Amino acid sequence: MIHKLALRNLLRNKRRSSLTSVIIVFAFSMMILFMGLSDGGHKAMIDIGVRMGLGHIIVQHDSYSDDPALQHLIAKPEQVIEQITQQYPTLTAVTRLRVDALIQAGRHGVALTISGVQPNKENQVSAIADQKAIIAGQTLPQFSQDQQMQRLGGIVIGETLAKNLEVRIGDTVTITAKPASGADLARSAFMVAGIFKTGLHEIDTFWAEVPLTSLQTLLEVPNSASQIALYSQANPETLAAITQQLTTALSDYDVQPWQTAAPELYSAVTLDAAGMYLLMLIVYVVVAVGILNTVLMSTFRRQKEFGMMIALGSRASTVSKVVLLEAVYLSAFSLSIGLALGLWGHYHFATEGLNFKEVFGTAMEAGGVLLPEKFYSILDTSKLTLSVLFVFLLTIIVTLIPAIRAGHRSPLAATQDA
Amino acid sequence: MKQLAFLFLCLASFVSTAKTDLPLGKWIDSAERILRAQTSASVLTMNINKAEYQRDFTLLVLTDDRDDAQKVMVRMLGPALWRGNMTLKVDERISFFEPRNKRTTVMSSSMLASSWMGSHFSNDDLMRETDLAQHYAYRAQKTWNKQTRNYHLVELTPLPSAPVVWGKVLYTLYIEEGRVYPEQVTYFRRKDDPQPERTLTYSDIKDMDGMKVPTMMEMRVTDKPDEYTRMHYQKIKFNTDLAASKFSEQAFL
Repeated sequence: MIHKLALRNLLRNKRRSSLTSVIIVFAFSMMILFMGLSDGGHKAMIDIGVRMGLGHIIVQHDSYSDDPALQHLIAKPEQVIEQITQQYPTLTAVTRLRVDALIQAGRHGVALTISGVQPNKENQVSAIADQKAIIAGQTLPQFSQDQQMQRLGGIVIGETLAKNLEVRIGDTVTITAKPASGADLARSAFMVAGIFKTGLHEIDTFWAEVPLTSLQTLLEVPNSASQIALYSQANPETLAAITQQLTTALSDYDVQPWQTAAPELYSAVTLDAAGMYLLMLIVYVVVAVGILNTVLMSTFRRQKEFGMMIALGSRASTVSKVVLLEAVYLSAFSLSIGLALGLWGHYHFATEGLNFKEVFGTAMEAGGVLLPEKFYSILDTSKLTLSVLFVFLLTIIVTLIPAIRAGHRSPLAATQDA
Repeated sequence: MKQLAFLFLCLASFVSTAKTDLPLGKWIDSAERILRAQTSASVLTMNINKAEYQRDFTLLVLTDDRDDAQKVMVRMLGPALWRGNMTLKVDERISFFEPRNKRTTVMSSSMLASSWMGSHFSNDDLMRETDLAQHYAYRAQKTWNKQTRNYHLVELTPLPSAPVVWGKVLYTLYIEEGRVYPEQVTYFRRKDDPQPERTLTYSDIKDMDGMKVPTMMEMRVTDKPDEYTRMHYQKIKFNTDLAASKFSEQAFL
């Protein structure tokens, strides 16, 4: 009986009901869309961030993060890798050796970070100098394969650096660094194998990669590395668990998740997510006030009607229930439409992706990483369920007061007021 | 016919000996050392002319090549603002001293590229003094005579895997009265570049301490034609017995 009454009441004033419904549908579908896009954007940021010379998990010498000196290297990194991969065969491990050095060509010189990498392995996990990032010349593995006869080792450098040094593919550059023995500066020549462009100013200007063994020889640190970077396909929860277990297993080393190793990326993601939540909260408050307004208006306009119901013998709770049920039906209806619309939008962006460059005209840099040109919407089911419940509850809570008030008006006063 | 063949053979052997027998490496080494001898003590002015500023320094330069480890000490005599600034190079180690805050800085790799006292020479040039005599292969490109001088243009190409930044260096030197004098050194970025990146010219031969030496050195960078750094030697004393204590960081104070 009351269900029928509530539905009939809703349909009686179609314009009011549909306007309220539109607010909810619009707000909710937009929320789903934004949620998906922002989560997708964050995932893209993390994915690309860990591929910029980082890793999901970083293993280094205990004192390396405090003092990245050549005395604080991992000796025999392949033994450590073996220990790790025995336990977690799904992880991909790469060894890197980093040092501040001077790169020179002709009369130009630039102080930068040289990264000694294992060309074949690094190529699979890094986005700095892989096939996609190289704009001229070759990647390191291609170079070493192609030119077995080459007398010089290959080096890949950033686009801006190449411009600043005025070098081309095939030119010779020298790297000067202080070797581990602490003696005089050591110098070695390399041939420019490739020029890469990541779009990140820092990396394009102050980064170069050479084969690990060449750098080890130059620095007189045979079989040592600054860090072991681990890459994984696992989701964040599994990754956190692996990091935890590795920390205990490799107690002699410093095991860092990317969140610690790249705090600027982590805080950028967190800050962005926090901003998103704040925005959601504001939108929900606005929606709630909108719903409150229409429900208040509708109960106010129908005071005479409710007075009549009470005069005819219906209980106060019945009147309240009818008003509440109206809200429940309305929000359930609007939410399902909003959900459908939102999911449809999400599906579009999840399959087609959002082309950032097309929308904003430029590529976006955030937290030290360049967002990929396209990123894909991702929805977390638990988050989605939570939002549905939240909006639903919000509607009901907002309706509660007018509903109770509607049932507790004296019929006499109601008819006289009107 | 036999005679012709013999002549040809003679000619061929002459050309090949002419190419291989010239002690080019030795010449370049002695040309590079002409202003240093075993030891040297010199006073010179350095004029730096850059678009941003002009500077004139008076320098006292002591060198000691008697050991394997080359030693150079440069002390600024003027202007007053810079007086007492010192650069010490022992073998490959370079340190700087700033008298006002009494600080000694040992040069790190990142400082190599910056210019030495604002001139067109870099710290790296100080370190690479012996490069030309060590890391290159030599080829006589041209030989000619002018007045009493026997000129040679030597092309230097880096040896395989030599840690040097130039693709080619052209060294013009001449021999007069059995001594080798440098005339001009041009540095090319790549072997086939038409334009050199910079040029070092020696001129103004004068008699210093009983030896004829070029007293003017000028460095010019090709893409900034109006700029130069000139070193003009006022006084040089060769082969005096300089104390080893002059080439230590204690000498800074």
